[in-house]
Amino acid sequence: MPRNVKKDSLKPVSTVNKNNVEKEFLHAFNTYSDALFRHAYYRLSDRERAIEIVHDTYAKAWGYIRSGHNIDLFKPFLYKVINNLIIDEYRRRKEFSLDAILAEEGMDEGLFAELHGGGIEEVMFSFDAKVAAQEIKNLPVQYRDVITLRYIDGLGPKEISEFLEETENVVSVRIHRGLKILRKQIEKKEGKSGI
Amino acid sequence: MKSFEQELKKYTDRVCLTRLEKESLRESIKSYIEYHPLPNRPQYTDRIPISTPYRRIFVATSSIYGRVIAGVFGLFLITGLPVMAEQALPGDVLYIVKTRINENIGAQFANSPYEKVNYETKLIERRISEAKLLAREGKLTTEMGEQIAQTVKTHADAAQMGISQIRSTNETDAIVAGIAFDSALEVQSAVLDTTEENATASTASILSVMNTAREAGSTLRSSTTVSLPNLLAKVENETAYAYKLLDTIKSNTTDEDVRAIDKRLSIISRKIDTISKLDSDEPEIAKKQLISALSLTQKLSTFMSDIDVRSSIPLNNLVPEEVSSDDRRLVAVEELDTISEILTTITEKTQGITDSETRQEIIPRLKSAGESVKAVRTFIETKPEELEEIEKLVTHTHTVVNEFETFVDDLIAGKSKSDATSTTETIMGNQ
Repeated sequence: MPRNVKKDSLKPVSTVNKNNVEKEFLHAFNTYSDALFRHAYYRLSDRERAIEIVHDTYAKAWGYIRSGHNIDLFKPFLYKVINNLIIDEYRRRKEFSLDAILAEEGMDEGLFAELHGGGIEEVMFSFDAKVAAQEIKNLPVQYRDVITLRYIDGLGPKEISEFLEETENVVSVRIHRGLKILRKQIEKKEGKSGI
Repeated sequence: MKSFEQELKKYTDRVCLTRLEKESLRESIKSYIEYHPLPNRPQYTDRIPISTPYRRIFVATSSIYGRVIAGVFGLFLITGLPVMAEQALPGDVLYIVKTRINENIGAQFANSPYEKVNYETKLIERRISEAKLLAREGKLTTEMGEQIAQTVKTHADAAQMGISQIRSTNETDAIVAGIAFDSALEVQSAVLDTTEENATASTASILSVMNTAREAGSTLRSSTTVSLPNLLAKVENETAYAYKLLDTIKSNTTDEDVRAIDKRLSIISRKIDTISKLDSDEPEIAKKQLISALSLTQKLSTFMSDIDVRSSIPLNNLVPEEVSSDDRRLVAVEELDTISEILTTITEKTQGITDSETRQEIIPRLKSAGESVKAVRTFIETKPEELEEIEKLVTHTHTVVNEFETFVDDLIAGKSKSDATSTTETIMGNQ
């Protein structure tokens, strides 16, 4: 069995023929293309590039099927592919050193203290969601990703941690810090002082 | 009040592809699918991993080209491979196809025990032939010799079993089959004995196995009662077959070999005549002599039908010219009969000669020759043990009478009388 294919994504397909495969694939396009576009848009802040990334995501998925594999659950598969493409895009743009950012973050007891003493949503309660939606694109990339996955794609910290192959604590910290930065940006825009 | 998360989601969900963008993207992906169609194979399943040979074969043969190639390969396996395997020798890759498949299939066609004995005998001949070829190429090791010996033993045991099965229904047939088997073993032993000196050690084990098989067969024959008339009939049939075989090989055999075979067959025929006149009170002697005659005839038949045997061993090694005293005397008397016939012919020719002078040259000499023949016949009757002298006299008389016939023919043709004088003097000198 190929190493890059998880066993649980394979199902015994005894009656699948070519027409059914195409049909399922196009159904996956109809179902997830908007969500994928949205995800790519908020992470790349570039509409045209986001559309291209979505196209590449589905092309790669089709190539995977052509090579003899079967995709049981399209959603996680497509998100995995688009995430890899976005990371490649980041590297191509040389916007940041992902490794440097990860090294900068670190993990210590202080980080966990930030997660205590009041939920972050209490902080965000008074924010204008409309303004926040616009400002997410301006967040630093590592916070933008987790905020996008959390509030736009609707994934929980556990799912995000699996997606990004990070620990859940790191994901939670990034979400928290991302929201704090978002708050500052919104306040700056609206001319209000921080809490 | 709605939560921030819900509100945020509401606004961010408004970010999506426009209808045109989505249609354009969809068409682009559909084109991609058309330019990169799915291959004609079933989808990957965890029950049939790609890495197994089964899947590779299945994938390879699912296309039309794969099926054609598979069909041609299958045809080759069924027809070509067995044919190629027939040339294989011990140690070759295809040898196992020859012995385990080809020969097993051949064995299926041997329905009766007699046919099975024949088939096992043929297989032994094959093994000996293979041993000889290997010895010639210097590849017959001691180990390989033992391997072949083991195979020969298997075939010999199978043949003996067949003979036992025949014996349960007809003892005479069992004797005949046993003699045929024994004769074949004797021939093949003689063939194997002529292998190169450096392979002697390797063939020793094979020869030992064949000798053991022959001894077992001999013991069986000696303990078997047999109907003499039936056995005699079998021997006569076999002799008739041998004569027919001689007729077929005359065109591609040396005159010397033809004469030698003919002479031996004549001796065997006379022996059969003698045996048939034997007193019924001597059945054991008759049985032994019939078995001997049958064995000699079968060995002669093998010599005539197997070119490998003919090229490997001289006839005299296989069927020695064992002429008994009686046979020698019989041959001498037959030759004298031939000489008498020549003299009768000369007498008839002389009767046609009108010239009295020519008749005067021939008639005295003719009488002298007749008296010479009579004298030799008397010598045979009075001194029958003087076989060498008898044969010498008969041979000489035959030569002189042949020359006399030539002399008479020349005289009739009008040639010089002086050429004939020395010949007639020779005849006169024999008195």
